[in-house]
Amino acid sequence: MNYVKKEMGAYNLHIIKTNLYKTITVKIFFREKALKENITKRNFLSRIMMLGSNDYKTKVELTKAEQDLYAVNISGTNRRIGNYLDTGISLKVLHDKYTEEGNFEKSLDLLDSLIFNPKVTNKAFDETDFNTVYEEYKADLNSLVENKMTYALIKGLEATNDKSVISYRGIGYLEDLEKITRENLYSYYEEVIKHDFVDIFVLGDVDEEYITNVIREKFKINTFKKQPIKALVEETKTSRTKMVKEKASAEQDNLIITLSLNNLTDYERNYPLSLYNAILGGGSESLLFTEIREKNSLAYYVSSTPNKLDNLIIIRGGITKDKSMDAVNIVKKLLKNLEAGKIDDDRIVKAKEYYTSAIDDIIESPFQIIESYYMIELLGVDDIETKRKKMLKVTKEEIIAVAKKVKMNTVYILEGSDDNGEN
Amino acid sequence: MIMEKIELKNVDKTIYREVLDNGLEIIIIPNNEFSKKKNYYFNYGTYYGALNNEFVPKGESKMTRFPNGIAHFLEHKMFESKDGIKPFDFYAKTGSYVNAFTSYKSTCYIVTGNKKMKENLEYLLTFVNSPYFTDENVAKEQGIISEEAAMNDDNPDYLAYKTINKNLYKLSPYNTPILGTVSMIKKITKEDLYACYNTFYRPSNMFLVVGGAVSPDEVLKITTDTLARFNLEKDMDIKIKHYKEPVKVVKDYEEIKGEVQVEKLAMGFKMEKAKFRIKNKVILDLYFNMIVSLCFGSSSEFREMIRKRHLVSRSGYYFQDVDNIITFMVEADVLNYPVYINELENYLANLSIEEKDLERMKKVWISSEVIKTDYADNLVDNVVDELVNYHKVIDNYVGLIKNMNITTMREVISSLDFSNKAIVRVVGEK
Repeated sequence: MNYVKKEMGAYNLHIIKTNLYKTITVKIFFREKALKENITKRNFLSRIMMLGSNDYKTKVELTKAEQDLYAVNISGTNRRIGNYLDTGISLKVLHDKYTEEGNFEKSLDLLDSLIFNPKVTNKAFDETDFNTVYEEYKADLNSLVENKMTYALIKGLEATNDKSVISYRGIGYLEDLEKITRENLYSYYEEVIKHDFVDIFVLGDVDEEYITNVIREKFKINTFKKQPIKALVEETKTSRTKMVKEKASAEQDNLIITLSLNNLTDYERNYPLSLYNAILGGGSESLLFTEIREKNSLAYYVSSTPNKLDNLIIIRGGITKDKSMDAVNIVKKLLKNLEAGKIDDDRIVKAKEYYTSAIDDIIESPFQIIESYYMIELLGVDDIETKRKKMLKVTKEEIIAVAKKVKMNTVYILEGSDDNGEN
Repeated sequence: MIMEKIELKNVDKTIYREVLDNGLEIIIIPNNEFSKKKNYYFNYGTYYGALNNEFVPKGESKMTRFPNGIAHFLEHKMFESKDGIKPFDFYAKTGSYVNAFTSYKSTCYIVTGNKKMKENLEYLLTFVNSPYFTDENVAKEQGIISEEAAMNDDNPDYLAYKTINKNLYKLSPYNTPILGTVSMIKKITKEDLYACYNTFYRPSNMFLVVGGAVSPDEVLKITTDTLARFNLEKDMDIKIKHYKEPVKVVKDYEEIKGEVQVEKLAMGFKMEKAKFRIKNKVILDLYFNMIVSLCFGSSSEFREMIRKRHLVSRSGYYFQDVDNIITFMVEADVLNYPVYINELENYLANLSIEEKDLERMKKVWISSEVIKTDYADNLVDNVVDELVNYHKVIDNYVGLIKNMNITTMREVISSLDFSNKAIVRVVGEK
């Protein structure tokens, strides 16, 4: 695998040459500072852009064009990475040697059309498409409350700190949807194209010079350069643990516990924290799984995830009705034990193995490879081989030091009950 | 040892096959020589799932009925061991992943990793061949699985799915969720588990599919050596009760009040499989899938129309194969029920496919088959699906796609019968 990064003026082009895949993968990242009022608009925008363009007037036409190019696959996703909103638009298509000469370039043209030639007239998005996306998106937002796990997570984060970026709903807000018009959506589109940070990745058995030229020719982005912002989110301070309960008509409790991370160093965030979380709730052999599910049969699923840029660990579980407090007490005990250094060496070895396996897993997917290079670009993290070496050297003392910086912030319980919701 | 070599035609891939003396079928799909990928994927499975609740247990002579959900329960319980070491812990030592899945037709144990291939394969074969059930560990699992069932029941899509199957099928175990129901789960005993285990977890009723960074000879040797430690013999056929499912649906309409903002709809159109002239299941499935792709996929005018008119916010379509029955299933989040139903039924009554669309989609499918060969996990999953559904590896899937033609397509469409249906709606309370 051979990696080069090229400054193209308004954006960076990253070329990863490899013969591991029969496909060429292109992924374009757009990112900007995470503002709550932009989340819904941004989701709306990716939905509408995937419906067609001035060259492909309907979804049917677009899909048929994609199919004619040997099933080129184009998709868009939105997420938040710390203080950034990040949109990835990706294309995956068989290399020309498996299809026909020129197929890749035509696929790029199609992608180019979707991004730079949206179906817009008089500075407003197409009315039919707009209404279609509006209704579908509205239904999705309305359905949010139906999925108890997602709903509990949203409410748990809002209970933790509803002012902070950590609680922003990735899926968006109904009240913001109602404010979106065909016109202000287009203004936002222009802003994104002109002002977002852009990185383009191309991965496959490709020629560097050819790719550089073809990308330069097709993606004429002229963004105004802005100063990068800090991805790391400010800490959510806590003096004592907050407790919030809500009722829903459900067969089980959904439990969310947020843990604040205080004063972590960059090294701690990137290394000992990963091991700490793996030990606490990373997998099927973790403390949470063993104690809450296997020993006490209180749950089918229970786990923890570190949102390291948010300075937060999130514990989630579906707990037997009325038994959530038993689970909370187990969590408290586990956190105390970790803080007191009661960690079997065996668990540390397992956590490290888990990590090194994940590193070797990266080359199994072009998107994982691209993601790992993107994180180097965005966060300045170490490269893969340095990561492996540093992680293997983490000591038990360093994990305990992280354990001492973990504080239980908020316990949120969506209590299952037979009667119907609303306290 | 010389294994049978199977060339997957048109996609430039070789796989290996062997049937051991004890009856276990092994399929090995190694990476290309120059590949730098390190992952390997094991899938060790039995042809035993939620469909098999009535059979003659090994060593007995009478047909016996077991509680629904027992295959899934058994899958959970295989993760217990006499020495107290759990498979989860064992695999965690090498950062590897272990899990298991129960479907209606099979139970599969999977391991993924990139270290200590030999030890990890040995352990998989060992733990699946070492049942250890006690009254205590069975009671504990009843709690965990009840929570799994509660989690499912809290999802309105699942509620619609569960109910439509109940209302479609009178006899087929498809009428009950794979997990069973909480009251059935509570009836399961350790004796039941051993009876099911001893009957179905036998090499002649099982398969091992291995893919990724492995050598075929090594996998074969590890498997043969490991299984030699167990007293496994080739078995005779297992007698399983088969149901002749009546064609008529059980209940044609049901409305459930639920905590939903957007109505959930599940529909099934039940038809007799004998009505279709194609008897080859692989080919018939290809045509069914083609109908789904062309008539209901993103390139279909129908989908475009229901979006533009805001009739649904999302919808899915597929064919379900239930022994003597084929069911066309629809699941949707519905915004305008009466109009959607009306449009759907009109559309179904007039289904048609153009030759150029068929040819375009064939090209798409063939491209996907080529792309798939980059991913060892996909190849393993594919082979497992083929074994579970057809009991054989399809070595010329691309050829079968190429052979699809508009005449046969139209004939399949003309054999579809949408007159016999069941509808389930989960609607908001307000």
